[in-house]
Amino acid sequence: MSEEIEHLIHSYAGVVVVQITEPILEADQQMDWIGREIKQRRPDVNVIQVAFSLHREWALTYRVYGSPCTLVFHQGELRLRVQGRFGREHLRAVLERVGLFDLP
Amino acid sequence: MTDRPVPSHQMVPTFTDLLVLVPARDGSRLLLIEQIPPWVAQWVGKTPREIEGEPINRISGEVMDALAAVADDVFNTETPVEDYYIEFRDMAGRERAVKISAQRVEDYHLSEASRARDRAKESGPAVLIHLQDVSESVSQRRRSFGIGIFHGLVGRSKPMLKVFYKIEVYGPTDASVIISGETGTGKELVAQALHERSPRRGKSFVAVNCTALSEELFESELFGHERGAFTGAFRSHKGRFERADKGTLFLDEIGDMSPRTQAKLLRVLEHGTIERVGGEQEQRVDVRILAATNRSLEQIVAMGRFRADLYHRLSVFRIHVPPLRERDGDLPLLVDYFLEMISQRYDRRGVRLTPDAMRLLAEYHWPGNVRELRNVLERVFVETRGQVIGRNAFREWVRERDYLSAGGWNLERLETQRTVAPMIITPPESDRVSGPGFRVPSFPPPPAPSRPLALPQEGSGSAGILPATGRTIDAVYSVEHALSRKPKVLTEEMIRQAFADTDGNATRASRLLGVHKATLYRHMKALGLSRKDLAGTQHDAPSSAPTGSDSVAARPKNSTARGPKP
Repeated sequence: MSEEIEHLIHSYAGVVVVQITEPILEADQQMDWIGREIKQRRPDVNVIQVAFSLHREWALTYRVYGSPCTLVFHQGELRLRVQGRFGREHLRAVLERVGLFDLP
Repeated sequence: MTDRPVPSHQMVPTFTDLLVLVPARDGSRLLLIEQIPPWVAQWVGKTPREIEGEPINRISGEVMDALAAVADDVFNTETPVEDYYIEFRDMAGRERAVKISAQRVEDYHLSEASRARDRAKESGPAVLIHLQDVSESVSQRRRSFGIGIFHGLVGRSKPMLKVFYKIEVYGPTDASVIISGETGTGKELVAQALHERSPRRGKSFVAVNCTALSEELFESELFGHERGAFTGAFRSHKGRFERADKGTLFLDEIGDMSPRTQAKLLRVLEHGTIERVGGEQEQRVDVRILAATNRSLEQIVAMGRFRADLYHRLSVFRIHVPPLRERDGDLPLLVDYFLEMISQRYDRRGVRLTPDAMRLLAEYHWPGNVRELRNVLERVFVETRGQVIGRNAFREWVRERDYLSAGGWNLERLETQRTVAPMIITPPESDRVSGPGFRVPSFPPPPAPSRPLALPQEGSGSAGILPATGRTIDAVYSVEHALSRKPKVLTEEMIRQAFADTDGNATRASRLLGVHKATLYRHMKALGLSRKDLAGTQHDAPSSAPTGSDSVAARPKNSTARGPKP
């Protein structure tokens, strides 16, 4: 299963946002809006959601040891890792900082 | 809260749940442990004294790796981390979980020990990580989510976790929810769970099956009626809406509701009032509507059989309950759960399935989903006397199942054969395909015999013994020599010949061709051949059309037999 994620990250030329969550945790449940927000404003960005418990080994390769965590890849390269829960302003700021795309 | 004296100049007090990391002064970019709570040090089998002053990434232990990664990010990006959950195993192998929040501060005043140790300045940057041990609550949630004591819903597969999560989120709201899913997936359980998770849980949960009632009766059932409203209305009757007041009304199979009732329901949803049949007064009701459907409401709306305005009014939230075949890993859990339940009911404990029997169940497509599984288990539980249920206990069920998959219930034939002898239909290996949606529901092939099987001829009624294994072969149909066990292409001529040789019997023709019956039908369809065409090629075939159950056109849509693609 994790191979599919890896394949998607490396085969997509644009930006791939991977949301690592754990459905049983409250903090993770509050992170659903990120995918919707990004998808709504930037349909070209590929947003995928993966459950940490199902992809633990894969997540560890990106030094992700818990959830929620948001990874941003560009051309297969990890460009940003945001751990924990965060708000809209924070998301906008970090995404702008990475320079890949701006959210209005 | 403090475990050591706090100097008056120190801005951040030393809390027992605070991990402090400071950069090493040697330019190595390492983060040294300035302060660590004793209970965190214990997780890696150390005391604070042993590891304070050490680089965090040199302390072994899952939790230290995770904390080091977080600390690195926070220190380098200056981005704080909030509510990050780390699950790990401690030194004793126990599963633990910690919730952390971390931030970088610039003027952290170092302890005297640290200054002496590292010849550091009085203050400098540091990463403060606030830790909270949440092992108990996480494991509790994981148990309730994972093992499936989640309001009677069993499962820990990803799609089911998603369902549980949605129940948690949508439950406390007052909005309508449409629950979709195939028959037998547990839509009503989801509705009950939503009710239980809502502030209405102390009030009534009233369920109505929209297909079970006629249109006239349905209206009266939903909204109630006054005495004398119609013939037979000897007394006034409270409708389901009234009974569900302040609670939840669950409308099952809402797609089958008549247009007139749809209009009335819409009115209730919009105005919050009902009027009994034959009544003159409107009555205010406070009801949350949950609706279930096993069909695509969108499609029914597009066909004009369901009001679009009602659809939009109802579909505020949507929960799709996955079919059993898409719930990876849930089958063993469900089997255990149902066996336990059935054991209690019949007061016979400790009954279990053999791995072989479990494999048999795992190979099946489960068109009837969890309900079918529960019924099958109850059936074999009752039929089996011993404590262990093996593969053979499912034999009759498999046989019936195969008839369904072969193109329809040929009950007459099934009964005839049942009276003669039980039978196991084993499709050839070439037809057995693994993977979701492509399963031939049947027994796996028997072990390879040392010599060719000699099955008894049709009508003999006697069971033969397979010499190699001693296993009883109790098939009662004749077996012709197959032309080829794995035909790559079935030509029209081959099919015609097979039908001619078997007097138009599709089952025997398929055996003769060495393919499963479903495969034969598929080839026939691809070649544009119908049973009618082939009837003409029989040696002494009747001119009438074949029975519905053998006809390709009559094959039910929910037939589960699928062979490999040609």
